Amino acid sequence: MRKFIGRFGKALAVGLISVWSLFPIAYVVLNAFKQHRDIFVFPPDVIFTPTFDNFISIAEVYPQFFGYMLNSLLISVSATLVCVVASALAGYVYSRFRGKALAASAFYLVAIRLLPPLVITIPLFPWVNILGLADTYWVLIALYAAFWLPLNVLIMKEFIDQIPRSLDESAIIDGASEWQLLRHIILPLSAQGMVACAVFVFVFSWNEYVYAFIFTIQNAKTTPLVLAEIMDSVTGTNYGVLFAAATIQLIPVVLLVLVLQRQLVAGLTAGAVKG
Amino acid sequence: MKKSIGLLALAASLSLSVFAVPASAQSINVLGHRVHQSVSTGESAGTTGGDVTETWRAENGDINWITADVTPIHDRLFREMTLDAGNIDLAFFLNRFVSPDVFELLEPLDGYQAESPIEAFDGLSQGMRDAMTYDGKLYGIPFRHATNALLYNSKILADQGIDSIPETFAELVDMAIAIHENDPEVYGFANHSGTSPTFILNLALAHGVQFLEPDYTLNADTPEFIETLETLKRLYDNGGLVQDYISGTLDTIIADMQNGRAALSLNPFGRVAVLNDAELSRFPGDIKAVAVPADPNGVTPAQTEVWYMVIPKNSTNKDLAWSLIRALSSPDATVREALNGNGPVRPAAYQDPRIVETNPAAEEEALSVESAKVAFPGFDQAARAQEILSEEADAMLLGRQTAAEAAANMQARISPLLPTN
Repeated sequence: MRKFIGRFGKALAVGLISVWSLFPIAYVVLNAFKQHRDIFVFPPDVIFTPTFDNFISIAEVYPQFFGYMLNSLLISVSATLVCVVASALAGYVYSRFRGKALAASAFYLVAIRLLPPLVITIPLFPWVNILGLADTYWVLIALYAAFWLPLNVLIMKEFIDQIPRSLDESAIIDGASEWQLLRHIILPLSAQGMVACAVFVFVFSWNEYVYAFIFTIQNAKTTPLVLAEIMDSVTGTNYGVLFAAATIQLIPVVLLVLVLQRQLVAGLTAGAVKG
Repeated sequence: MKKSIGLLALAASLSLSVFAVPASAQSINVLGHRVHQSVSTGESAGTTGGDVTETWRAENGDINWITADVTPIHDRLFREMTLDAGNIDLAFFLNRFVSPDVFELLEPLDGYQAESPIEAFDGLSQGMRDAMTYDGKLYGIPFRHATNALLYNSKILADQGIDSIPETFAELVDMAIAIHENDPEVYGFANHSGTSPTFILNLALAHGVQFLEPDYTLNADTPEFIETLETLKRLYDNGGLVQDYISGTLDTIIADMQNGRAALSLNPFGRVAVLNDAELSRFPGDIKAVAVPADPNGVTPAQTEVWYMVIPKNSTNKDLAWSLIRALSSPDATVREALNGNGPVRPAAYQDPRIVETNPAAEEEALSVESAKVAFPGFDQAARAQEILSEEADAMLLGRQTAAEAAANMQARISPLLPTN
C-alpha cells in the first residue's frame, strides 16, 4: 500500500509539473491555429477547425520576420560556438593549473556575473557606436558569449575536474603535447558538459531581448524584437499572429533540445553524485 | 579529426555569412511605429490611399523603416540622441514624451520651413503645431492624431432596446450602468487604468475640468475632479466599467469589445477598424463611433494624442529628412494617409470627398478634433505623474480611500513634479 501511495504521489507530482510546464506552450501553439476572434471566447473552444491564416499573416504583415529569424540563428550559433570553445579552454586551465593570477581571475569571473546586465549595457552603448559595432552581428555574438562565459567556464571546470589526472599523465608519458592531450583526451571526455553549455547559450541567445533591443536597429535585428513589436500598443495585439510567430520561434529550440536530450540530461546530472 | 575539421568549417562559413552585412545605398533611417509605415506606404489590406512615399523614394532613395512599439521607439530615440552622430534621421514622436530636455536634442524646423516650405503649412492644425513649439521655435510637424470617440456596440444596444446615444455625458454614465443591469454578462465601458490613464483624463474633461492644463496648473483637488473620481467609482461598483479596469491593458479592452463583453469604450476613432474586422471581431460592422457626448458646458470633451515628425539634432541626413517630412505633410499626402487609416492633422481633410465617402464618422471626427485637448502636457516627470494619478485612483476604486482623499493625495504628490516656470 505504501509503495502504491509512493508511486501514485510521484506520478501525480510529475503530472502536475508537466501540466504546469506544458500548459502555456500548448496554449500558444493551439491558439496559433485559431482565428483571433475565437481565442478569447469564454468558455474556450477546445475542438475547433484549425487555420493557417495566422502563419500566412506573418509573411504578409511582417515579411522580414524570417530574415530576422536567420539573424537569430546566425547570432545564436556563432555565440554558442565562441562561448563553448572559450569555456572549454578556460575550464581546462582552471582545472589543471594553479596560481595567484588564476585565482584572482576566477574571482573576477564570478564577480562580474553578479552585476545586473543593464548596468553594463548603458555605458556600453556609446562605445559600441564609437567602435562602429552598433547594429552588427558582432556585438550580439560577443555579448551573448560573454554573458554565459563565467558560468560555462565553471561548469566545464567541474567536468574536467572529474577526468582522472592519471589519464593526463599517461598521455604525456606517451609523448602527447598539451594540445593533443586537450583534443584527444580532455575535450572528448567532457563533451556532455559542452553540450549542456551549448544549450544554455543557444537558448539564451535565441530568446534574448534587451541587448538586441539596445544594440540593433535593423541589420542585426532578431526575432524577439519582432515578437515584441507584434504586441502593439497603438492598434492592439493580433494574438493569432503573435502566437503563430511564437510557435515558429519555438521550433528550433525544441528541435535542438530533442536532438541533444540524452547528452543534455547526462551533462546536467553528471557530478551531481560523487563517489 | 574529421569532426573537428567539419566544426571549424561550419564556424568559418557561419562567420563569413555573419559578418557580410550588406551596405545600403543612399537611404534614410526613419524610426516609428509600424502604423506610421503602413499609413505612409498603404501596405495594409483594404486601404485605398496607395504608397505616399513612392515619388519621394524614386527621387531620393530608400526609406529604412525602423519600427517598434511606442515606448521602445522613444527609448531608442532618446538613447540615439545622446550620441555625437546618431543613426536616426527622422523619428515619429508622441506628444506625451515632450519635455524641455527633449527639445534640446531636436533640430528646430523653422529654418527648413523658411527655406523649403511645406505646402499649405497653415492648413496643419494650429493647436497641434503650438504643442510642439518651444521657446518660439517649432520642433515637430504633426503627422497623426488619435482623438477619442465614444465607440459603441450597436447590436448589443439594439438588443437591449437602446436606440440612441445620449446627448450628455452624465446620461451616458447612467446608460453604461443600465447596460450591465439589463445583462450582467455585459459591462458598460471597456477602458483601463495603466500608466497612461486616458479614461480618467477624458472623464475629467467630461466633468468640465482638465486634470493638468498646458500651463501646468494641476486641478486634482477641484470639486470637478473629485466628482470625476466619484463617477469613476460609481461606474466601477455598478458594472458601468469592466471589472479588470485596474489590471487591464489595451489588448483586454479590444478583446472585450470584440467579444461583446462590453458595449462602450472611450477610444480613438481609428480603433473602429480593428473592432469591426471580420477576422478579429465577433461583431464585425456593429461597432460605431460618435463624438463623446457633451460636458456640462455643452462642449465635446475629446482628448487627443498627436504624433509628430522630428529630426534629431545629431541626424547626419537632415536635409533628406526634411524633404521626406515635406512629402508626407502635403494636403494630398494627408488625405491619402487618412485613406490608409491615419488620423489627418489637417482639419480640411475631413471635407475631402475621398474621406467623406470612405469614413462614415468623418463629420463626428472633425467635430471632435476641433475641440480636442491634449489631456496631459509633456514634462520631464510626466510618466511618474500619470503613474501617481492611476495609483491613487485605483486605491480609491479598491475602497482604500475616498475620492476626496485620492484627489488630495494626487495634488500633494504630483505638484512637486511639475515644472516651476
